[in-house]
Amino acid sequence: MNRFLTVVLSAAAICDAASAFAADQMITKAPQKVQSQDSNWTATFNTETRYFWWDSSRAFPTNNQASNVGGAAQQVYTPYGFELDGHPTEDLKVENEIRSGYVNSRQSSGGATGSYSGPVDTSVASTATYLGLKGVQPFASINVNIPTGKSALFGNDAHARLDSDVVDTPTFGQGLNVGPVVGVNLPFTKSLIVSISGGYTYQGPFDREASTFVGGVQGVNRLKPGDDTTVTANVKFRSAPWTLSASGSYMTETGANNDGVPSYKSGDRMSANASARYAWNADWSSKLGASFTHQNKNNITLLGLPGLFLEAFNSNSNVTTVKWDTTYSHGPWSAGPVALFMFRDHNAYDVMNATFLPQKTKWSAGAAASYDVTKQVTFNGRVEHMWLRENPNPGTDIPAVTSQAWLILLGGTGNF
Amino acid sequence: MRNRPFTVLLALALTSATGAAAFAQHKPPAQQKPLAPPMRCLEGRTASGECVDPDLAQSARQSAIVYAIPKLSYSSPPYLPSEDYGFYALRDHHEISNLFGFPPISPGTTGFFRNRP
Repeated sequence: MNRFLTVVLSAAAICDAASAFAADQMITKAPQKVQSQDSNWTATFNTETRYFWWDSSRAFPTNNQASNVGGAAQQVYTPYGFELDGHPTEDLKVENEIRSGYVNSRQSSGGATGSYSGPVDTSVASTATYLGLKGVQPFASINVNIPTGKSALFGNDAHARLDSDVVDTPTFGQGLNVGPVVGVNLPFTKSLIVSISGGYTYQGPFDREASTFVGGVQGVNRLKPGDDTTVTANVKFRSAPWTLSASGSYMTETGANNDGVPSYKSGDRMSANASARYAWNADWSSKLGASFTHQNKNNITLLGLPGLFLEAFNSNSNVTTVKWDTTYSHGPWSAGPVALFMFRDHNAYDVMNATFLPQKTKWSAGAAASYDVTKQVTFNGRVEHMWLRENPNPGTDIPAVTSQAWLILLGGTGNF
Repeated sequence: MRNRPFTVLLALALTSATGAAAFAQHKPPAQQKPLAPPMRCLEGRTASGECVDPDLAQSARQSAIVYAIPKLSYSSPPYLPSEDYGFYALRDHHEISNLFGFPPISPGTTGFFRNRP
């Protein structure tokens, strides 16, 4: 009887082993699905050439008493960037980016011309994100601005710096700046993500042309801007046909020095922006976005007294922008109109005070388009016309300033 | 006891038939429905295990980084040129005027650095 039982149990064990082996073979052979892409790494190269043409009833900067004649300017700005993103391991994503550019900028006014032609600064960024936790994806980023551009422009060449409300790069060089950022993505659902972060920007010293001359040679100031600490919160949501986003940030800055002497401290700055994109159908979509920025009073020097003092009135203005675009996409083509409105209110000083900053508005309208040559190569273009007006400044006898400008942009992107 | 060999044979036959029937239920891999493979999520998972929308997650992280270092670089911000018009890069008017503007200001001549309109 015992022998019989032994035989039965042995046979059952053999069958169990055979079943387990068969099941194991099925799991091992099943293929692993990837969410959206087959390769671990993607590389992107992007470059654009932007031609700005501007003329105004007053040369820039308008507060210069010598600017009472009209001015005209041209700028060709060619930025280029390379990005390499990928997953060294399944739980780690790394994003690397490098960007630089070349600029040719020129302004003429009253027979005098200032120009600059050369590279701008170079930025390098690297971000690592850990994906191994459910419901939270922490990230850390290090970003550096390398001073490959020129920060000091002597003589008339300083006139090559143009209005930052017209051109994309108001200056061509700063110091060595380092900006670490830490943050976390919190996906509440697969389509609702909150992202919070904290960043610090160390702004290194740089040379700038001085107004003093020694032995006929223009002097140099050594400027050290303040360092910034910023916290942000961002929300992104998608549920067809809507895509919504909103961001808010708060920044505080330390004081700036001129040749080692405290000279200026920006007030704390608060910014918020939001946008909504709506897909009318498979071919048409529209996007509306807005931003608002407020900056508290600055700390400035007072003649004859050491240190910095809170200014009596807020010399900063609030700035509001509204952007709108509509896009028609069909096959490899996308195209549509774009528009922007910017409003900078006057600051809090009396209109007869030398520190009064008048109200300024900007309207722009144009069109943007892109064409997918292949799945890896895309060309894009943009044309915009801008109208700007700055109200009169009675305290300095500067009348209203009206300007108009054009932007023509051509670019290309390659994905590998 | 005279039936012992028969009993053993019968037991073996029964167990073999049972095992064969069980094995037959496990069809060759080509004919079987494969087990659900583990999904690889490019931007991680929610608390419930769903894959996060990768484009949305990347955009949220990029906004969090860019807006945390707004003054890193005026001429080469840390994103591709094609993304320039997607961000709000506000210039500090007085900083632009004082630190980068023209004409330059010298404390030696004016006595102080003041906010310029």
